[in-house]
Amino acid sequence: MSEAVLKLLGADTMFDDLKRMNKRQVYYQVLNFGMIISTALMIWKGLMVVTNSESPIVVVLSGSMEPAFFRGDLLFLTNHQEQPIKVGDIVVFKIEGRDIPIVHRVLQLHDDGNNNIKFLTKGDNNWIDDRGLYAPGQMWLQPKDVVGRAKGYVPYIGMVTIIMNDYPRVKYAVLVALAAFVLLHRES
Amino acid sequence: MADKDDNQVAQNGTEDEKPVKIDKWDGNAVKNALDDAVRNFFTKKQGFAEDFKVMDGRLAISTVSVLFSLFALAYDYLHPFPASKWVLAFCSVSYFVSVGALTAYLWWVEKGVFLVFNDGKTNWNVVSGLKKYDHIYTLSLARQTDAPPKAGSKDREISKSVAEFFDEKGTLLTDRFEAEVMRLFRSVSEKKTR
Repeated sequence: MSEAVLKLLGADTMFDDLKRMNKRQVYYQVLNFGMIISTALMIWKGLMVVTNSESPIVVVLSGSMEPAFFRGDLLFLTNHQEQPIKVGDIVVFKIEGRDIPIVHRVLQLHDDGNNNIKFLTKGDNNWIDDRGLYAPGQMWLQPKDVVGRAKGYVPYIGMVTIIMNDYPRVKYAVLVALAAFVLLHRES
Repeated sequence: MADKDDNQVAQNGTEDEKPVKIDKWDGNAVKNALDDAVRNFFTKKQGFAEDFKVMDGRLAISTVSVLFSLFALAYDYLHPFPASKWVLAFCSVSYFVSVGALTAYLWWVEKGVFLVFNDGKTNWNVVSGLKKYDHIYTLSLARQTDAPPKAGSKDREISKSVAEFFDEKGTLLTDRFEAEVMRLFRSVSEKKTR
């Protein structure tokens, strides 16, 4: 039974292929793998530079912004400082000391004219503002807390990320399978 | 003598004659098996030295690309964004430029040559082809000093169905294949060079 599965995946002859390869060919397999990872990585870092945001794509984790965004939606962010934050903007921010970003809307904003900006946020679907979420003693957010402002979104796709994070074993299994496939599969 | 680092050579200098068995329906595996057999034939059986310059060029450019990406990763880890902004921008652009250079290299320099060997006098380029879902394998041999082949000329290449070289189980019929390759090599070597 397992032999049949391996044969289906093309995996039964995979290791024979590897044994026939010389050092250069093995190194090329490794490089190929490295180049696939590097392409994804360089696209991500490139996006970071272009959008000026440390996390240009985020997944909505809660229902606090319904009906605008639902859990599992993918958001595209930019963080260009030249565009001032306005009331009504949907911002993704991080509270100091915590690493999970929050997506909510700007409710109130104070600007003293010297570029000192303080603002308060609230989720559309929440009863109260976010002061309860901020760090103890913190009443306002500042532009430095902002990861980015939402500029576009794709629905549902983020559920994959949520599932992978809820079941880490699935994530590792998929990653290991992909890595093995790329490393062992010889292209012409 | 054949490079000691190459795989597949057992102890005491005797060749590892384990038959090559692949999935006969996997076009990629078929081509790789035939290419490997050609390489094996010229380097081990005929004792010619393999010339690695073209392959090394490809490996070098690939390595440079990956190094750009690794450098970006390391720098960003040590100096988190936004401090690393310009380094990331530079590395990202350089990475894609070097991937472009690699593609150019593969297209113009390598041109499908998967093996270069030296028979003691001249370097030979070996090119093979097997179209997707097709069963005709083409193998062509040319000296590096020869002019490029005229369109449609058949004197330096063979086109055979892969069915002639594999049995039903997918085992490569090495003797048959090597006889074909030998025949091609002989016929091309005998032609006068310019």
